[in-house]
Amino acid sequence: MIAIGFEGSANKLGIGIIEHNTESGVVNILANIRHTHVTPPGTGFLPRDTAVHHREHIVPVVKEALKTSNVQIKDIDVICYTKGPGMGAPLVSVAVVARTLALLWNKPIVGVNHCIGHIEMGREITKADNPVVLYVSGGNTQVIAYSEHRYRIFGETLDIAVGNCLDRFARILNLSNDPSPGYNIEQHAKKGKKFIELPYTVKGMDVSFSGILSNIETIKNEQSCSPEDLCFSLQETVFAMLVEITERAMAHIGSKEVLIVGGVGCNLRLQEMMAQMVEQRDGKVFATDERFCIDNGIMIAHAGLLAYRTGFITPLERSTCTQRYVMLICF
Amino acid sequence: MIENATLIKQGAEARIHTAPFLTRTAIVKERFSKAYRHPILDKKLTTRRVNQEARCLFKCRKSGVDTPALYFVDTENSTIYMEFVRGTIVKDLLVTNSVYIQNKVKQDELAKKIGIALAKVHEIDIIHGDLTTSNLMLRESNQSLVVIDFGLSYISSLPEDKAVDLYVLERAFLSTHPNSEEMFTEILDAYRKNYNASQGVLSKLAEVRLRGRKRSMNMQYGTQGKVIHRASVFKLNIERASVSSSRLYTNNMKVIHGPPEYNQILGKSELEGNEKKIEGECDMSSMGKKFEKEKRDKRRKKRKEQENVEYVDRGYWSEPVGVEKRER
Repeated sequence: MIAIGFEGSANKLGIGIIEHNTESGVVNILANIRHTHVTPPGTGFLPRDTAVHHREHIVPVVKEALKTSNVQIKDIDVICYTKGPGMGAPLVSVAVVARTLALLWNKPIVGVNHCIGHIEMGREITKADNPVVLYVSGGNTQVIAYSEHRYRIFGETLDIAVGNCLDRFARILNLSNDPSPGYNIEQHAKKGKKFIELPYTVKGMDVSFSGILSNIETIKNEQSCSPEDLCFSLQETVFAMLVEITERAMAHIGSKEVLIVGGVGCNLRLQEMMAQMVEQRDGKVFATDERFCIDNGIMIAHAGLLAYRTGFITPLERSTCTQRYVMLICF
Repeated sequence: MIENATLIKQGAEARIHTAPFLTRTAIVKERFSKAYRHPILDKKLTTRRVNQEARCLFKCRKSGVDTPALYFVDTENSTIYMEFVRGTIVKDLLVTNSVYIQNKVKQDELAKKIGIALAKVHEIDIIHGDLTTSNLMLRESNQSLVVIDFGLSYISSLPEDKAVDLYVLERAFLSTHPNSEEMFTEILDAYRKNYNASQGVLSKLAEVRLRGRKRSMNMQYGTQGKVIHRASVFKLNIERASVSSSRLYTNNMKVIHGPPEYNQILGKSELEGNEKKIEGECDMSSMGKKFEKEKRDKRRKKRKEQENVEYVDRGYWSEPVGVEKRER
């Protein structure tokens, strides 16, 4: 079975085509095309401009995906799109295309929860069985585990997401947004030496990042510390917080596996710290690279196809978008 | 190194051993350093947490909360020696003990004990910081409730911190023990009765539940009504879900809260049947906005009275005029 997935919940526009062999269970990735809306240093991406970007690029990207995959339109079984959570305008502009194609090609359509997409893709790529999931991206920071037939959130951020914290930090320092602020922070951090103390806020299994940002703003103006040191200290602090809550969740649930998903998940320093933690606990860590960590169409196609195979279809009149997803209605 | 120690558990940040201490058996909690943490950060966190834990443990014990007695603190090795409590962990009770799973009277009794203990802890301005059912025990000898693991505790008199403390427990409770809403209500009830300043904390708790990105969580957990048709339950849900719903749904979509399996967003036409069963208009979007606004106004008014400062209205928040950032 073949599915095409449309993702555009934030500044990445992604189209992916995936094939599931229903007999052998083998998953085959046929195309994974992504186009990112990059803004100048010091600025973030706004919903309206991002939607314009998605509208401008989606047709060429879909064509490119079809070309790369060598799939005929008639072979596609289902069209999957991101239903939420995400920014409203970009979500809708991509959903409209998915819906139009569903009508044009006469295919069923499946709305996918973005978070579930990340988790299912991570599990598929890494073959992690029943891990504690650390989902870290620009919009989400959650520790999730599967229990009683649902993905349940055990810990999360109390205010902003970790990716949001990194992005805004990059804006304070005027770092480039190309390819992503997080990547540039990672590169700067490699050169950092001095550790500057930043607020470290862990409450139970929850974390808080907003204090760090305002603290950095004052430090930057008051003290003489290089951007490299700041990047280094920021990464050390926030990732230590994330690893700590993951470890708490592992201890709480009694699990030995960790899966890192989401855009921040491709940060090698985070993966390294997680590996060190897991080693002390005698467990295993699973992570993917930027192709699957950062928002992509493949994960939407994958999760949608899994749902479709169990008989789930989103009726056309209900193929809407939500900026905040109620986890209960996923599938 | 601890002499004659047997490791009983490796927690998230400490190893728990039992070891003989003078004439008794003691629990030895040894915080180990984390390889993944920067050494400076690691040292700072570990020292701070050992000190805080010992301090809070002692303070609680002194004011009558049943906690393990503190024997000895070894700051050099980040180790705390404390009493070995014989008993059962509440989490195990609720998961494996059939008496507690089925018998509501037993559950309520336990809930009451938890509520009273929490009231005492908060009375002396201690925030536990990691209230889960794994950190509560029942002493074997006299069935009194023991609060353990003060590893993330700190001292604060803010209702905010106490409310977050309760919220952490609520979340832990409902995520580990499905269908335990009633028990948590019982806990809050006992808490209210046994703690004089509980009113402020509980109203803060309602605020915390609605706050920030936790909103959607409230729709997932919380005391979502089991009966779909009862208006009172529905109202409760509106209150909780309002902030998110105003953003979540477009005007012609409505949400029905029922048992999880029925909890779906439905289009307007499909709702018509159900609508009759629910009293009054249930346009979630306008209810949400109204509720938000009422709350905002109330908050502003209260603040104004307190500080007697003029505020500039900025739409979603208000700022004091010409007031510099206050020093803490």
